Amino acid sequence: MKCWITLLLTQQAFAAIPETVDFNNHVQPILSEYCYQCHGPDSSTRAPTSAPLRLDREEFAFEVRDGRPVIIKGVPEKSELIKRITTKDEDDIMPPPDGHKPPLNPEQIALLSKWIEQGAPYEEHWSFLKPTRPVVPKKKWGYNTIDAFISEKHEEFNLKPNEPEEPHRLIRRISFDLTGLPPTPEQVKNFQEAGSMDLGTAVQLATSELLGTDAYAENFSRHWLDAARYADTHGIHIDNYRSIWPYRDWVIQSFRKNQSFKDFTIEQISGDLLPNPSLDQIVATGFNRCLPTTGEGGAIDEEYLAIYAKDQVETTSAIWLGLTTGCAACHDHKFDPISQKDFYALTAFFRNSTMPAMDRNKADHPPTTFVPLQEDRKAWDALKGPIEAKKNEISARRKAAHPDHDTWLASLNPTDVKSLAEHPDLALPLDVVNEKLNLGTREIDFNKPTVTSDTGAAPQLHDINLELGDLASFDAQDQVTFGGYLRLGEKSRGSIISRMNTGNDFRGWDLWLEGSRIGSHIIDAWPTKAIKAMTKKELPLNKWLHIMVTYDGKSEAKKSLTVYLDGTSIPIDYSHTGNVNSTISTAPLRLGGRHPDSPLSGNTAFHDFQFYQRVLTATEVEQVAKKSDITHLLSLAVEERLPKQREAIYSYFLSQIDPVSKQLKTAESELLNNQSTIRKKGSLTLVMEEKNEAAFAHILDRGEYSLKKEKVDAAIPELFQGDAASAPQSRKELAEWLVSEENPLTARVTVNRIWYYFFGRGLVETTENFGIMGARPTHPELLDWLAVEFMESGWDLQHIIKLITASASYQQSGKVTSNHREKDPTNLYLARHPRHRLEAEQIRDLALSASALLSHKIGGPSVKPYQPGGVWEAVAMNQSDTRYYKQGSGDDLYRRSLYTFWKRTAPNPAMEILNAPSREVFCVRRDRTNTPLQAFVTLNDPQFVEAARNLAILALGASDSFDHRLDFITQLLLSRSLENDEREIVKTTLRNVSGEYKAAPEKAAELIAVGESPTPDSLDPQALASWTILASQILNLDETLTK
Amino acid sequence: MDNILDFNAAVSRRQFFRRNGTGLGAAALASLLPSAASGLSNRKVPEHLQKLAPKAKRVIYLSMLGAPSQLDTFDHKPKLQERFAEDLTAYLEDQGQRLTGMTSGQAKKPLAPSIFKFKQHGQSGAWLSDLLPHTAKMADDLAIVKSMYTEAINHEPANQLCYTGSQQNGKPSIGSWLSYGLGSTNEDLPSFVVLHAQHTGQGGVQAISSRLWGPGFLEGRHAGVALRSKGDPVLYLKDAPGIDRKIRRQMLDGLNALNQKSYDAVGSPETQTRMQQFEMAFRMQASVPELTDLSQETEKTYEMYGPQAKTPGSFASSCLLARRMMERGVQFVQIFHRGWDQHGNLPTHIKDQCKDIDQPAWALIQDLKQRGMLDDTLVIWGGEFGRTVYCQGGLTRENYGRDHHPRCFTMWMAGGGIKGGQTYGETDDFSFNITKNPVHIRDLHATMLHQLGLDHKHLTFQYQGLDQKLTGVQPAKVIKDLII
Repeated sequence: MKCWITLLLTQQAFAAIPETVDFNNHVQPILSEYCYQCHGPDSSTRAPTSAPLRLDREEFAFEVRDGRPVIIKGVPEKSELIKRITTKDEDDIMPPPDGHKPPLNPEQIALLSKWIEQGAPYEEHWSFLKPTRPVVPKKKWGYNTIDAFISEKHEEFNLKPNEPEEPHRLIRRISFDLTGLPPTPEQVKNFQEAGSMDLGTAVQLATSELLGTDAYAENFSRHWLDAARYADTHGIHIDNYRSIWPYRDWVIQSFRKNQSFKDFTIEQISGDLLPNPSLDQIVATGFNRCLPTTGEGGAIDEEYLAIYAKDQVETTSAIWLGLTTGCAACHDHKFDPISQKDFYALTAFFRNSTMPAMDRNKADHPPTTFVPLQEDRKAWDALKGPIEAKKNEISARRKAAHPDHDTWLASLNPTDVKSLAEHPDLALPLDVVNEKLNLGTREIDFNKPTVTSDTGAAPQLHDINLELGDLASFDAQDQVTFGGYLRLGEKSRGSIISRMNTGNDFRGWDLWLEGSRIGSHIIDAWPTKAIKAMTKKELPLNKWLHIMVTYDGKSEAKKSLTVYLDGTSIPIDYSHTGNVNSTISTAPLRLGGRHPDSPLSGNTAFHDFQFYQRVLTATEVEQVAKKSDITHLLSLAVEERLPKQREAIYSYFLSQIDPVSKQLKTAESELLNNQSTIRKKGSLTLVMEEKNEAAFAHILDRGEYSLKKEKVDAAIPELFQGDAASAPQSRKELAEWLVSEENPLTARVTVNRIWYYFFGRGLVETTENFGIMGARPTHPELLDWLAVEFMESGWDLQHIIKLITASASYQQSGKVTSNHREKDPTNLYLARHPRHRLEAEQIRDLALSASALLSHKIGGPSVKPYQPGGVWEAVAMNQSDTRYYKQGSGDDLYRRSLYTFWKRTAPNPAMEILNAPSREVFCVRRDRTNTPLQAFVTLNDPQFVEAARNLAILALGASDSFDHRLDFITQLLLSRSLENDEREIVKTTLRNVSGEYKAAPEKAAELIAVGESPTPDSLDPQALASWTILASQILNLDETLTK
Repeated sequence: MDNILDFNAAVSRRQFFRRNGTGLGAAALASLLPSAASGLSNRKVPEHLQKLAPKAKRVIYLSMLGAPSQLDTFDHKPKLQERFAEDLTAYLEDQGQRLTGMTSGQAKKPLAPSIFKFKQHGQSGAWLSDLLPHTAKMADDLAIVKSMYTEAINHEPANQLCYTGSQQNGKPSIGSWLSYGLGSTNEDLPSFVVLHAQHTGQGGVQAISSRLWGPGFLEGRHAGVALRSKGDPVLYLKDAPGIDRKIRRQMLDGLNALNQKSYDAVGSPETQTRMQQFEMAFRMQASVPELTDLSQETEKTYEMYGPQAKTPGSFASSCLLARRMMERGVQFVQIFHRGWDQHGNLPTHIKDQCKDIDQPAWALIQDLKQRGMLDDTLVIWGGEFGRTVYCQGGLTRENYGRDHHPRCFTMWMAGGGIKGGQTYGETDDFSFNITKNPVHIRDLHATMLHQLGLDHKHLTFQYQGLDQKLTGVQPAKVIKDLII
């Protein structure tokens, strides 16, 4: 063995072994990669089963086994660990050949040997130790503390940092990083001027200015919404619309006011549990409602509640703790000291919610709260008091109005009672007296059977068909109300009353009976140009019913009819909703059938037909129905009136006669109208609500919802539990712990994520994983320094952002030198600024902003910009309310991309192709690929073609000179003017494509017709088409798409 | 590292593996870069994966979404005819199988024998119902597996298990794993293509999500590219109206020249890659329409695929398109055919569905065979689970519905080194439990990877600290009996 190690010493690999071997940096990565699978935190797979060996914790690693520990401090050659990784014996070698790990390489073996030689010291995993402010190295380069740490590494790796970036590129970078938008040419000019005197101050000023914009809030909200997996649909199965955009707007407002990350956290995790929470604090809890949910028929509640809790724990862990706790759902974590029990104790915090497992495919999956628009908030709150007061006044008046009521009642005479009836445009009593049917102004003979009604004898419509005259005619665009009292003897089919020309495609209208459902036809030509709707439910037989139908010819066909039963509208089904141009018919109004040959049968009785040349409101119909009621009630002798009937008369008095009550009611309904106007503009939003019990969960064996084991209380992982008494037990305490200084992770994880937004890679590359298998920080001291700085600043994000933009590390040029290429090809140590493609939303927003199409509206419901047809249908279920994509128009096409409607099962394809995540799970690190499909988007998506056309329109309008026009475009897209050799290239393109468009003017016309925005007629189509190509060329430049 | 090419390769490689915290994954050097970008050979399978000689070079997966009834197609249970309407409630309680919320509350679970006639076919004597007359003709090409099983009982999780190897969100799809593991063999076409075929059956249409062909935690370029039958076959493929090939070329020439200047000034390898991607896009604008233009196919071919073959977006047309892709080096084509979730009126709806797929699937196999490609093209047919022997809803002699059943279902495989002419696995009298040779979804995955020359244990990607695999953490096995 000794000789073997000596052999190793001679090998070159050994030369790379550091003087002092560090457990965290050198040893643990090897142990976790090769050993922890069987000798790590997971108790269930620890080997050998007879005497499990655990190497991840010091207290177990040195346990005596077979007379001595596997690691003998200072003596590698006697340590079983080294023997096992170097032996040639197939039975003994570690890792075992039947796993898929290759044997350790000589360098790794040498590292472990040296570590044991140096006494095998263990250390807690770096990120589990609380960060302390490290000693700042002496600054050798740059402007601030960040640079001191960064330049230390430059020295270590012999790297030469770059000069400051050219001012126009620098302001473009700052603008995109902060606001997600390009700087305006004016901003560039100002920055260049200020920068020529003092670049540092210019950066500081620009940073402060941009941090105070809505655009900054929107850009950082978009980062956060990736993490929060925000979307506008439920995500699983039918994937219907979900009402949660007020949460998105809350995030924007929070960044806008630079809320401390501490409060930002506490409100999102537990706003509902704060004392007297404000509406905003409740809306914030939408964070935990952004998870995908299901309403799939047959899905099992328990199963999904387990899935949801896992999602919530994984999301919270990744965003705040940088831990992959989800691994512990089925077994103890393989690498990090997170046990299965720890995981389920975490789920308990989230399982104590009143949210039902099934979202029932409804937008308002409870619990929810109503959120008025920001501008309506005051008015909304101000309405609550007066409405309450008005209700009190009304009920007080109800108690006090008895004397007035009695006086009124005593003063009533029979004529007054009659006059209480509404005045329709046509009223046909249709009662039968002495074999005469009363038509109000005249009578016709009627010697058929009758049915007793409240007001006398009503005609029975059995085998009769009576022409009533040229009455109750209306046209398709009119608004009318008609109806009367109806009594069904048995199920039947036919017109009760109609005005319809059966010889002319049934043109006209009727009140129609089908079985015991009632409805109406409005017909131009049956069946294509016709509207028909019937009540959903069957009406009772042998009972007098008050039926009213309103027809609104000004509304769309499928909403034109309303049917009222006893004064209340009831649901109807439309079977026909054709286009009706005219209903004017020469046929007379007819009782009991449309035509002499199609009489109605079945002992149907009908009387008191009323016809109004307007659409009565629901209240009016109710009054009509009730007023007829009141005439009946008042006709009863006082002593015959039942208490209920007396009450009805009193209610009638209050609502119709009593001026005091009427005035109060009018005032109330005005207030209620105002409230409902605000309600229509605002939205419900999904929020959290706690059950009234202590939070608990069961450990689920292998993560199976059906295999419940031990019950556990809500708790943070044991690893982090200090003093047991102060350990969090509720969601609120969890939130407070997340952002407490007791927690070693949140500050590090958060500043790391901010660093990633600016440099494209975190100081810890795995922004979601700070655990043992996560990446090590490239600059551990800088990370800790920033974390402490962040906490001490009061968790102020903008403080960290300002430090970053003020650093030379951030401000240096992105130029790649041979020194960089040689010493640090992947730019881990930042001797140049990392150059990255813009993110999906930034690219689209850049195109919109530069072409002046961008809408600056903030918040509100998500919008549907251009999207190729068929993307949703291809995946959606028939019954999904997001099956068809209904593209918006006007402003909706030009809103910032964070407002684009996000359907989880089919996100906007342009965004998805440019690496926007699907939002099905949290995302704290986006992909950044470079594919031909992305080229298609920026070349051909109508959004980008239209932007190019609008840029061309502006450029053509700005000047007649080629150079000025080109400058106009490049200033907007690149923040600079092109060099002469570049101009020549563009000029060649222009010459070529102009020739093409001159030869084929129809092509020019086609190109400039792309997109909804208008093109001024004054522009020459060929010039515009050619310049559209040029603008598209500049828009597609690598430099344009990159920051 | 002096060489700029090496440098570019190193940087790009980093980028492709940037999810990977602690080093390269075990596999997939092959997919580091499109060949144009790296100058490397484009099919360089890592050394330790080369142990397996691939039998298949490409795969067509015919996914019957919604789950076809095994009892009415392949799993013949003649004895059930005498037991019509027998109540299975007590039997099911004994089985302890969890039922979906759709029938768990149903008072009786009456046994519903299939109304379809079964016959034996081919030399192998495989049983098939008269719903699949064309499939029956190729019985001797098929390995019919009657003993497939899964744990999931609802569509979403079951489909995810089938097509991503896990019931949970966020895992890469099969095709993405293959793209990662095998790289690309065609510079002008994506290596993983998805087709959505129209379906005729109007019973149960299930939702589908792009996660079934998504890259999960693998790099985004491994995502399946869905070719569409309406509009552009690839999203945004077609140049805007008024831009012809010549104008596009002129515009791209200028674009390239400008980008080259930018590269000369800043030296970022990303710029070069972008230039190459724009060029590939330009080539795709020719290659994709050529691929999807079926007008050069002969009448004889159309006849073979059946009456729907000329209808864009039909299953027949999709199969024909799949064959064209196989010829052009696409490695994995997945055709999704929805509409198999027949909880009620099964006899009517399944007829329509089978009619959609029967002849085209047969034609696809014949077509591949005629072109000498069946030997190295693996074709897989099947749904995400099976259906129950008991009836959901009202049962009559002519009509019934079936609920979800995870414990057994039937799939078939053909070509690509699969031993055809066999029926593998058996189920009990109720087609409820497997009695012989169970095959889990992950075993199917392992077998498929094996045929492609990949060891499922070694095709890994490190994510969240684990060596992630398509087959997941539970042991999976290659079914040796199924392969030549």
